[in-house]
Amino acid sequence: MRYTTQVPKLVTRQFDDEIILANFDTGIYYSLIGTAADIWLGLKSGASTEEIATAFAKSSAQTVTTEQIATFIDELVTENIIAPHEGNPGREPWSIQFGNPPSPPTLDRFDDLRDLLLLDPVHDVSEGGWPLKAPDVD
Amino acid sequence: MSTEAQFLHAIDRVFEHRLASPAVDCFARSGSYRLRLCFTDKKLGAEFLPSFLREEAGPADLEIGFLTGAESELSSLVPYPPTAHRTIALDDCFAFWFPGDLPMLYLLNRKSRRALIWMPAGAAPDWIASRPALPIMYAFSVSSPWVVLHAAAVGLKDRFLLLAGDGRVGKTTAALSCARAGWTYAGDDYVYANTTSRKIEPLYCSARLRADMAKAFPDLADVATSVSNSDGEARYELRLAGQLTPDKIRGGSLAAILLPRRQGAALPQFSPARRIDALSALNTSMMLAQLGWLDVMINKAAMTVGLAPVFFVDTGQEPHAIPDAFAEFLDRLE
Repeated sequence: MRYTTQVPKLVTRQFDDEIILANFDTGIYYSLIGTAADIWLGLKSGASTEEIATAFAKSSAQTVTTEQIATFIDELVTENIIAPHEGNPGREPWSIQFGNPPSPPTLDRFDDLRDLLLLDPVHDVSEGGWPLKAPDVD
Repeated sequence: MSTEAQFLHAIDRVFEHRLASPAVDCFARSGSYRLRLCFTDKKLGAEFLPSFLREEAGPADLEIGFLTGAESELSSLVPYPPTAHRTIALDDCFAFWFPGDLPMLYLLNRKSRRALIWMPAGAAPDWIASRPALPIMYAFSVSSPWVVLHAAAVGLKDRFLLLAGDGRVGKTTAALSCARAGWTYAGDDYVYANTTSRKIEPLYCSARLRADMAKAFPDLADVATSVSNSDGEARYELRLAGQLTPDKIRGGSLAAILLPRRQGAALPQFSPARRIDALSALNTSMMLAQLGWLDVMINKAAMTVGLAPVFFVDTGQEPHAIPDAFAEFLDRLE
């Protein structure tokens, strides 16, 4: 299975070994480091789950199992960070960069901004969100 | 007529009539913008102007008119019911209704670069006078590289430290300690950051000092214009134009982002942080996105945390030790 990292309403930034993803619809944001960053970059390059697992198996990070990788990718799909790719995307070069020392991939999820926004809900910012009092009619 | 059209028409009408000869007419700088500020009443000017950095007259990037309910009737634009916050954020038009005992109506025509701040009760809450027109400045800069951040910023030799985080973590104490030690001050509450050039600029020349920290700055507390009490926390509302020379209230280039946190250190201590920690610390800034453009704000916040290295800092128990510790930290960054 291959995936796309180009999903709507998601801001993505890479800073050295840290990848930040922010959903500007929900206000939830995520951090990927180490193995998690490597897997996301692999998916972004067009690699399949199997190709990523094979790359890890051949690397010094071989303690990261295929099952852990698949579970992590499922989690990314559930969070709408990636989506299954219809067809066959082009492949770009990719190699494991950050998964050393190897550790199971984890998705750090931050929903404190969403909680703040819900505390004082974002209002409808269109004209419909600004009801005016009807003029008094005699 | 659509609500947007009513807003735009009201702005033009007030500028052409009520603000044709304002009682106070002057210029200020906020970020990279030259503002023309017009007040229908001298008392309003005295209330808001001290928070602004004064600027020479010239072509204005934005004109802002301040007026009260006694001077202009805009009640037909107040949303119904008037007890809830309301926002309209469209391409050309921005409007924000702030309810309460001292309600505020903010209107901006982004195309004509004119804005109104209408106070139907005749005055604004004290804490709003320390950061006047904040919703307008946020909305006005949305389509630019500039972003309004809830943060403090101080600089030494044109290299600035941005201190971001929730309230009560020591932003104001650190900023005022550095300012008193001769650093350049860009703000303790809200500042502008440029998401591409790394420039930091002040929005205002005010500060909001918690009453429980006033003993560290008795000279400043003595010149507070008022003591506000928003969210149950007393703060001295300070105007720094009389305390710092004009060359000491300005911006510069961002060198590092500091995330203050109290961990019981006696003296300031620094430790590396992740970009996501900085993004989390900017959450209170992103609350401005309640006013609209959440996508833009999140994108700009994500760009900001990539502008400079990020560190946690425990500013310690001795405010007077902060400037030297920050200066040594800047030296080590080089």
